[in-house]
Amino acid sequence: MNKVKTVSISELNASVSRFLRANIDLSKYHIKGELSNVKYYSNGTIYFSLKDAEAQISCVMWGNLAKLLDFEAKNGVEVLVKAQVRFYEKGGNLQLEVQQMQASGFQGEIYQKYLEDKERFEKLGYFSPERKKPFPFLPKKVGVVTSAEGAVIRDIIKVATKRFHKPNILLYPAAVQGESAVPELIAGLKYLDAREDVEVIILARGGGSREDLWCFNHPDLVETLYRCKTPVVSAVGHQSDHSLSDEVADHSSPTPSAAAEFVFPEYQVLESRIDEQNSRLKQALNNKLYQMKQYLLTYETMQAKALESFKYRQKESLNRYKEKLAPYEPYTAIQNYKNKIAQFEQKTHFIIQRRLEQSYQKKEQFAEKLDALSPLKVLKRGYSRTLYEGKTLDSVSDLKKGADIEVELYDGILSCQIKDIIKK
Amino acid sequence: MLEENTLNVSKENLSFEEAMRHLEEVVKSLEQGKISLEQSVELYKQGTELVMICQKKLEEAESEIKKYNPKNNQEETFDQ
Repeated sequence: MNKVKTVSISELNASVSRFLRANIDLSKYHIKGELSNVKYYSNGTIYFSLKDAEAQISCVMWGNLAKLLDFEAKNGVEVLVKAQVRFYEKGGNLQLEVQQMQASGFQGEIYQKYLEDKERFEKLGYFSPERKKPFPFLPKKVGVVTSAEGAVIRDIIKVATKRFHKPNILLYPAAVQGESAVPELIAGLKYLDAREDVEVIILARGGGSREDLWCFNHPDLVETLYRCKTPVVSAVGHQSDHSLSDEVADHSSPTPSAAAEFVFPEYQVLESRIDEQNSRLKQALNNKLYQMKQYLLTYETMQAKALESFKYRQKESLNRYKEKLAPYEPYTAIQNYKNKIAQFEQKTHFIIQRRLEQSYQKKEQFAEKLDALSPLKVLKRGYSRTLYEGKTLDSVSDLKKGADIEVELYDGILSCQIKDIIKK
Repeated sequence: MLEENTLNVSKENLSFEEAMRHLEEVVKSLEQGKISLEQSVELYKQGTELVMICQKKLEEAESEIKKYNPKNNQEETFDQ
């Protein structure tokens, strides 16, 4: 009976390694494949995968050899390599140790097709910013197309709940890698887009290898996204991965969590926005009322001032008229006349006084003269006056003999009859 | 400046963002103050209504997390 031997993992891996070295010699072959998952290390060493449509293998190219490369080893580039198969005993992995590598044609076929698709869609204007749809900031319901398994949908729900408190989410579960991914993603987008209540769609997938994410470059998916009437956020892989889905979507977020942040507003922010507008509204009306009040006050003051100045001006001109009219005022006029009368009176009085004085002087002179000429005085001296028919006689011519005459002496009258007339 | 239709917005079917936009317009016009007192009061009334609409929309939002099942065309509760 065969006795069963026990071997350790180390022994097993060592013998696998020995077997490969002894039996697989690739020195006469070029291995053809497309670069993917290319990772550079600081010492220049490159880790990557070589793949074709059905299979892939891990590779390493040490720094001292990698630095001799005459092209940039990057994902999608199709290459021919000279390499040896090595079994990494410690990790139990099979890998190719690459000695030489050359680019066969500049880019790989898959990458080439991607570039062509990209250019075509670009020319058609699928990526132009003008056709990006705006997002509502309070979507009633948010549709999510992603896998029902895994962290992506859970991250989205978590962020949405944290921000909006009560998010409304409808998940359309879809494969996000492999053959069924493209048709399922398309079906999900179409279903959610057709629903009236879904106002935003998130198309999401977590990080993965370039191959895993490649379906998000599929032209059918790009076409579907382009035709969606509902705004779509695309969040595929991590920030460094940029797919055509990201390009054509209305918005692209670097991660599913970021997409949720973009779609779901912060409840409190909205509340405070409403509050802010509300208080500004009230303030603005108050300002308007205050402004009107001030206006009225100013107007009143202006009116009062205008009235005051009008009154003042009226008063001024009235005063001027008064001054002009003053002499014609009845009282003043009377006063003036009175003054004039008084002056006349004074003058008159003065004149009369003088006249009286003059008269008195004349009278005195006359009196003296009269006294000197007085007939009585003459009569006293012996002279007499002869009267005929009451008249003093100064001639004999008009008298006749026999006429009665009177002779007045100093102390009496003689009644006489003319006896004779003797003319001289 | 104040848009012609701001004063005549049909408020029944406004979305939150439309109501918010109108509200912001109303507030701006009111803040500019180049309108009559009557218009100001009218705008204030509009604004107050819009504030109420926004608040209502926010309060009306209902939390619901569901998963669509394409096989039976049903919505199921999503077990997180």
